[in-house]
Amino acid sequence: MLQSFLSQLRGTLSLVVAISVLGLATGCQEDNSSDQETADSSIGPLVKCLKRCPETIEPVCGVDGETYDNACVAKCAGVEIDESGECLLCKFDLSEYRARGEQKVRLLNEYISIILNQGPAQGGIGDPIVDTAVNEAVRLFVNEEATVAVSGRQTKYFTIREYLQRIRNYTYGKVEISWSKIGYVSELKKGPDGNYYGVISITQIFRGYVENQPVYEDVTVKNIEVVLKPYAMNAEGKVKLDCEVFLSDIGVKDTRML
Amino acid sequence: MESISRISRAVFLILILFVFPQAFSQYYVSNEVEEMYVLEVKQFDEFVERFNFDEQTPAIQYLRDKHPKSPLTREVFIRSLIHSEAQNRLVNEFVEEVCNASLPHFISFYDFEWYAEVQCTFNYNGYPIETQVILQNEVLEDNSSRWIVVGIRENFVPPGGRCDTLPPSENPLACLNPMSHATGFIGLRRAFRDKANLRNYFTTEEWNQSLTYFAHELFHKRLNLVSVGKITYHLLQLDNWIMVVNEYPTGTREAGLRISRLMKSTRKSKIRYKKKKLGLQ
Repeated sequence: MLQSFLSQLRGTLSLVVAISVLGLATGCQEDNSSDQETADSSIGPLVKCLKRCPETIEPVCGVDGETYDNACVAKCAGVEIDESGECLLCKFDLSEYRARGEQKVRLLNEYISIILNQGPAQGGIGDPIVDTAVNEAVRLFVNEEATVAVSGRQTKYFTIREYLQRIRNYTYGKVEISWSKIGYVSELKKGPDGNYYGVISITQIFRGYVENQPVYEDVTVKNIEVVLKPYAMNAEGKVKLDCEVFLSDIGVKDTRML
Repeated sequence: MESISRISRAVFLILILFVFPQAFSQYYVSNEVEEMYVLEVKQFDEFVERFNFDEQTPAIQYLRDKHPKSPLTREVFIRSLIHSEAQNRLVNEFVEEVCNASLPHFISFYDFEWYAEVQCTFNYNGYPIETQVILQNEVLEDNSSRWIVVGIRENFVPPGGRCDTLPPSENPLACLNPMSHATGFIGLRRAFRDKANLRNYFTTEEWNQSLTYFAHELFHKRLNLVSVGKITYHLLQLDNWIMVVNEYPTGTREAGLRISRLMKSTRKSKIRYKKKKLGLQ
């Protein structure tokens, strides 16, 4: 970012000073003045350029893998912008994060469908398939503290496991859950804990049937938090950084009965 | 003829964005749920993108794709972000100033001059109380960010009430992550129960007496967060203006995050606003 860029710049300036001091100390006075001029002439336009940049923080990732405070700062450094937002440790681009996030949301949907369609109405209490579906669904989440909000007169909150155990008691003969194509995926933002956070907005349509007749139908807009946790892995003797994508809190924006 | 055609396309676009969103929806999408969803501003990030007329934002891409000949402008998009209840004589002036070709104004997630006012229901010594907690997104030196509590609207201090400051956090990385707002601040429940790290969820700046007492009561578990409700954003980033952004219900003509109030403001009046409206120092 700008700080790191400016510290690099300051580093370069210190180097110039150090070289000139060293030059004086070793008596190489005749040559270092031209060196300094060369260094100054390359730094001058850069400083001038940076002074014209806004101080706003709108991080962009350069093709050099460095994060710059904003597009103007990157331009001053002569670096093309790879994408908006911070450069990620694990070099995920937005489309990959989107794809992995969407895949986890789809999997969650499948597990929920299994849980609901093997519920009490199907005599599915204690069904090992349902237990497996609950456990696998929980594994999609960053930890068991991930919370699901359920709308009502007052919003209620459940940990992901509590939520899944709760829906397995629904007494519909059959349920259908369809999710609209994903509506909005936010940019990733870095947290102080080193993880990256984004939110995927989706619309879910729920239909519950009793004796093949629809008895309940609603549309819920949900915002699902996605966490990217960087980790180091050893690949062919080299340490490589990658990120694992997990789901986290699920907020409910609105539920409308149809 | 070409200019008439351009004007008619522009008028059509304005109609579908403001006046006849239903017509817009029917024109573009057949599914009822989908059509409302296209118009809805679903997250604060999306609000910022639309305000800044970011070409990457899905709504712009969608309109460009489906209606390539329509002259889509930033002005049209900003007007569509202002809810009808906020429409007044200031709107034209605001739009003109923000969209000034030589000096356009933009907003940023990473700017510190914006706040989230969160309606919270607490259980306080067995009694329900409602108050607004004021949070700010704090950008740290490594450009990570987190939400921190900076104020509280309710005066929690009983007559003669005295309290201690919170102890330092055990885990310096414990935080309310920077996207917590998008899930309706669900994470506040965990944060306010995290006694060992409670200090980390609050501002590092000076606390007023009410905030100190509030934190003290949370620490001693006399105050427990039951639920989080409506979120109102206060944006003081733009010179001369304060924008209040509220969430409007899904399935309405102007769903999602929209500007609910627009006020002209000076630097002084912004300080007053922070003190009076947000209960900040």
